[in-house]
Amino acid sequence: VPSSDAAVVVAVFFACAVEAVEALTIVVAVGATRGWRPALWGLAAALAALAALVAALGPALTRVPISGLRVAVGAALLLFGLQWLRKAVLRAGGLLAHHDEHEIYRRQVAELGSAAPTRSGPDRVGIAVAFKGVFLEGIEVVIVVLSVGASSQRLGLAVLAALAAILVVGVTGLILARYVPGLPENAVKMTVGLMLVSFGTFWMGEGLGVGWPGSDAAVLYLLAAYGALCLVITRVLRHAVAADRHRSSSARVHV
Amino acid sequence: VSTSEERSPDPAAPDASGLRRAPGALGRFLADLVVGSTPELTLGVLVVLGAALALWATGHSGAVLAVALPVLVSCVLVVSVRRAWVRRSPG
Repeated sequence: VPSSDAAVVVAVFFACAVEAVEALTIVVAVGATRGWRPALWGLAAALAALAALVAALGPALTRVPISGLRVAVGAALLLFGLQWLRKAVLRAGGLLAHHDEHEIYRRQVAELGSAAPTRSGPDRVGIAVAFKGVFLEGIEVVIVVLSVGASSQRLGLAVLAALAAILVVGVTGLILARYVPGLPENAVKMTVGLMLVSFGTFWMGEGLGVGWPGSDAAVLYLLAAYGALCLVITRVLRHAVAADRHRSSSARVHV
Repeated sequence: VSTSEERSPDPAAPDASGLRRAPGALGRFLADLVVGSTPELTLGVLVVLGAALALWATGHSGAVLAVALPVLVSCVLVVSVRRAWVRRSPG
């Protein structure tokens, strides 16, 4: 398997897995409070809408000149990758609270429990909440799948990686009956962020005619360089946060 | 990146006025997706793109761009983390 293909699969799989866990949390919350029928209808409708988006936009993207497409996709991947990376670094550095699926689940159940029950016909509230949860989380995955797939000219491979991630998270979620808390989420998010930023840099360069030393292997050394930078930032941030907390507690003692 | 924790779904059932508000809601959703709470990242990526295009237009699409791109992207990340540190809540 070429290294660039493996990188495409890993980037799409993990990006999709993280979003699928968040979507699954909402679907399970709907299932537990409003029943499984509206939860599954909402889930199916959202997956169909997302699949239609990929089917409509995917072939269109293959007709765009590859250089321009890679510059645009590079910019999009940089934006999303930097957003993921920033959040993961802030969490690892202790400046931002870790993502809490338990809290999201609890809040979702409370909101749904307070909504009025539907007297007859399909439960529109349950279907709408499940649909919105899955669709909103899925939009980002669609962008990643289309960007990574079209730029590497491996759209089919990217779609398969996304489907595999949905299947793995879905089956694991069913087995665990409630949801999937076991993923080391911040580490996964940081890895995905690093891959998206590396791909974004690589493709923006490719689109502008950069002859990267080592060709496709450039993704790997970009990944290593950004990874090293994130380690340094995280370490500096941890020290700063610890020093800040120490100063605050000392000030309280003196007051 | 907006997550489910930041976009809590409104459990109200959809109606006709909801459909009329859909374009505005879509616009807000897209703006949230692209800009969110980190406008400096959007601006930073635009600066990276502009600088890269400027270098390319002046014939620097080889080694200069291969070095400049990762350096500029790293600067955007550092500036954004620094901004989060400066804007942190006290204590």
